[in-house]
Amino acid sequence: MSFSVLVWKELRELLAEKTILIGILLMPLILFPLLGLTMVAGFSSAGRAQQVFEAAVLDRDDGWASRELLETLKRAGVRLKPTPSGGDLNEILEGLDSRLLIIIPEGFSQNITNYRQASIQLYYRLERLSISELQGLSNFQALVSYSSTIFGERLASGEGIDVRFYKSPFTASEFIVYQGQVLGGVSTTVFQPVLYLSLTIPIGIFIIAVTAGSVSATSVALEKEAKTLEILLTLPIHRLKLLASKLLSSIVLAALGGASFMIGFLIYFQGIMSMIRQPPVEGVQTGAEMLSTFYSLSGPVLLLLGLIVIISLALTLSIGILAGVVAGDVRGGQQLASLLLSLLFLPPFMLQLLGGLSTLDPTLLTIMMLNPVTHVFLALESATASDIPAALTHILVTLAYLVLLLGVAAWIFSGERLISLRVRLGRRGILETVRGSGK
Amino acid sequence: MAAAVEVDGVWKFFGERAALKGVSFRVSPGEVFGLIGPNGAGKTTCFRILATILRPSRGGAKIFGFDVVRDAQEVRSLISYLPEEAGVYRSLSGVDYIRFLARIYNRDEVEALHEAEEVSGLGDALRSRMGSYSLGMRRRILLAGALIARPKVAILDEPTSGLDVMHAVYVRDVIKKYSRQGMTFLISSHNMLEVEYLCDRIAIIDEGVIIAEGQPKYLKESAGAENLEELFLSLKRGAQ
Repeated sequence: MSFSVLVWKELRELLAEKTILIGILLMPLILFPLLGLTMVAGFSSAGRAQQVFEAAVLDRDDGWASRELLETLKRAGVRLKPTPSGGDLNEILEGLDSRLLIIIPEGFSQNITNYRQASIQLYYRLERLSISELQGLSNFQALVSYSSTIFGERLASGEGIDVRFYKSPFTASEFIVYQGQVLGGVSTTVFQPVLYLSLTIPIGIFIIAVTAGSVSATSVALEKEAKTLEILLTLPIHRLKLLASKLLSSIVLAALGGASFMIGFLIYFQGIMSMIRQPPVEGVQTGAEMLSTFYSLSGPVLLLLGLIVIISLALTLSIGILAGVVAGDVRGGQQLASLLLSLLFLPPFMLQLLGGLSTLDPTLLTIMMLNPVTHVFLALESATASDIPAALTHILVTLAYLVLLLGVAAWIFSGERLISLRVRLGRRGILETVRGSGK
Repeated sequence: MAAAVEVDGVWKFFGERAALKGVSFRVSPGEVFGLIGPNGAGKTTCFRILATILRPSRGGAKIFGFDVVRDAQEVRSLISYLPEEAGVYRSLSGVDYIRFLARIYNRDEVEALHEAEEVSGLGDALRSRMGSYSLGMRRRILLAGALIARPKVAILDEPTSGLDVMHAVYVRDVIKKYSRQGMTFLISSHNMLEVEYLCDRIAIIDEGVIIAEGQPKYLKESAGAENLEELFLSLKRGAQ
């Protein structure tokens, strides 16, 4: 009876905290779909920049080769608009209603006729320094380079030479072997979604975990700061029940946060999948196919992912609770929780980005394996790769750490340390233990 | 008959500093006992030990024969504690808080609410969130919470702190009423008039040491003091 009342009280207090509602429940629902939408919008914009090229042309040569070049550009998809030749360059650029200007100088055809390398000038007007603008510029450069190649091939063909043979005497068919599967027709561009997921899952977990830990520390430290803890400790309830009620309510919150995370993540995942369903080149795997090869999100895998998120949140919330317990006030609790969680999360997170555990020497590897969060990341990696036994092993190790952490919490809750032990960040960022009356 | 409260040679250290230096006193059942002294004398530390929040470094304390360290769980079912600077759960209403305590102490919720309304005098404000309460209202709801628990020993650290005269008088009357029903009170206060009015016996504590103990009237007479403030000052001068 008293336990359910305590949990009810804890949940009421926790859910009344706006920071908890926003940080744990709303942020994943907003963060992931927002990431997905931004990515889709960014790529659509870059795609549009790639598709529509309208260029003004100032052909000062007006010879056979310049006409041939313009014909090649047209075939490559550039819409050409002749521009009056009068005035200097600044006047031409000012009067330009197109963002691209191609100037073919006099003597272009003469140079080509004499087998001398000719040149043209390209002007690209940037509206702003955005990724899609720069991507558009890059795409146009690639198109002109491609047109130059085609133009060269046509010239060579007129001389009866197959220049493509000399440029590429052999071709290579590429295959990737991943977890016993041989994948053919793999385009490096479709690796991008896999990279995005490798980055966004840990980043998302890191943000949510640090927020959750900081918030749970706040909820406990608030009890100290609001001076409600002393009355709570004198109620006829076993101290371990108090701890259990705090943890259970935190875990309920973690489960809600986990569900929110999974919903947000699935919306994000669907966004990415819709973006990459079309193959970039015929016969090559689409991004969606590639993604489903590397990340198999079947029912059991989704369940495992949910479990990992809940356990890691429970771990984070427990660390937060401990930080809140040993801190004297809300600020101290938040500082301590953020410090501890950053120390635990950043090394495996960075390692995930830089090449994994296999790149470490044995000493560093041992240190990393002592960090419970390393096992959270390894469990995630194994689960997304459908390696369920490995994922379960890492989940069990994480659970063992959670039990250990609970033991420490129980030890603190059972004595007077809850009131008398304080840890604060010193001026130089050093942890100081303060023994006092708790006043 | 077992003493309601029995403190026997209690020392309490915080690091190197001794907050209590061999404090001893006994409180009989149904008695209102006052612990008075200047700030930092050790009153709150003593109360916290009796409320099972802190552990004595040396010596021991018992509530109705139960040791505050060894039998902490039993002690908690016999006491209620109102700390001097206690706060409230901001998101809970007064009604929620009283219901919460009624369930913890296995009391009938309606009866407990009725009693809390009477003790606190908060009326309709009981239905508002406690976060919106003034300091005085908070103190009254916390006092109501401490009394609806029907403890055998109520430990009240500055029970009228933050209350206006009207409410302070009202709270003193409530304490008297519960005392007549047999509840034992352990009270600390800076208000010497309040202590004289409420307490059957007092102990004066200074720098962690009990320097006098007895009925206020006899203590004053023995020292030739007109009031407790004079008594305290003469005891201090005597000690120096």
